[in-house]
Amino acid sequence: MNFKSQNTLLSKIAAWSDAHLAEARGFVLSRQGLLQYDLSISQLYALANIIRSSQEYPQITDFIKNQAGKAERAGKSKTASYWQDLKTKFDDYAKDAQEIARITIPRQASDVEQVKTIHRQLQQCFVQHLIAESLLYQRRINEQTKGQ
Amino acid sequence: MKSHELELKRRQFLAERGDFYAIPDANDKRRGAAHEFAKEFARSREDKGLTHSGVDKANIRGLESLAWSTESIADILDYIRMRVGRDIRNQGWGKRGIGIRLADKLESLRADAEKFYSDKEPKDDAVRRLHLELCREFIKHLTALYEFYKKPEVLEDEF
Repeated sequence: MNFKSQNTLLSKIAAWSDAHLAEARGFVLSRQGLLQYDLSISQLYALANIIRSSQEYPQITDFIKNQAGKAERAGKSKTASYWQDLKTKFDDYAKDAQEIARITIPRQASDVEQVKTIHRQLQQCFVQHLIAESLLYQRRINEQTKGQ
Repeated sequence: MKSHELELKRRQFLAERGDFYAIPDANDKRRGAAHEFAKEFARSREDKGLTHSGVDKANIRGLESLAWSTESIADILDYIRMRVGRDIRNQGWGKRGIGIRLADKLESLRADAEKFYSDKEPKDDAVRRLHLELCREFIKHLTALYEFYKKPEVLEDEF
């Protein structure tokens, strides 16, 4: 990949990240009740680490399915739904990754490994937003709890 | 408008906005937001005493470094919001809501970018890119003014 293509790719990923910030906020806001008891930020950090270190998408989905399964077995259906909804989003982002590859690196858009790398970067961006928003909501919950 | 004319206007707009963010005006409270944030960050540090800082130079420099190295505005906002979220004791970014107000302010700069392009035809993600540069401009002035205001003799004069 040449320098110009690399820059264009970075720009497109950054634009995608900015465009999906509101979606991440909405995802956290609609499930903020989970942050008090059923979902910990450390799980999101663990997911971020898995995405960073994995080479294959199934490694990421296995982690998510594992978290959803644990929640189901504990009778926490809303938490299980959280993970299942997140997996659905990640599956959808594969199309975005393909489109970004088509626009920025058209000669390599059919290169599966390149598209997988872009897909992982999109997931990483989204999880970063989730972590930031979740930390903020958890802080607000703690402040409200102290005030009571 | 020709592209070089647009680029010139864009740079002039960035410079004008930079002045707007950095230089206060007693007759216009909207001016000097970066100036006010810098004073408040410097003051939060001073409140803790010299032995333990609130938002200290490393934090501000880290924000500046990120602003200039990232292509994503969301990265800058996430950086601040994570630090607010982690500040459980309200001694740093969470103190008096300063971090979240800064994040909100940077996010609101998009309105300035949209205003610039309101009578022009922006290409691709020109509005987003201008928003990013406005954030960089704001943070640049915030950092410089913070360095000035964190000097004890300056704080004594101010407060």
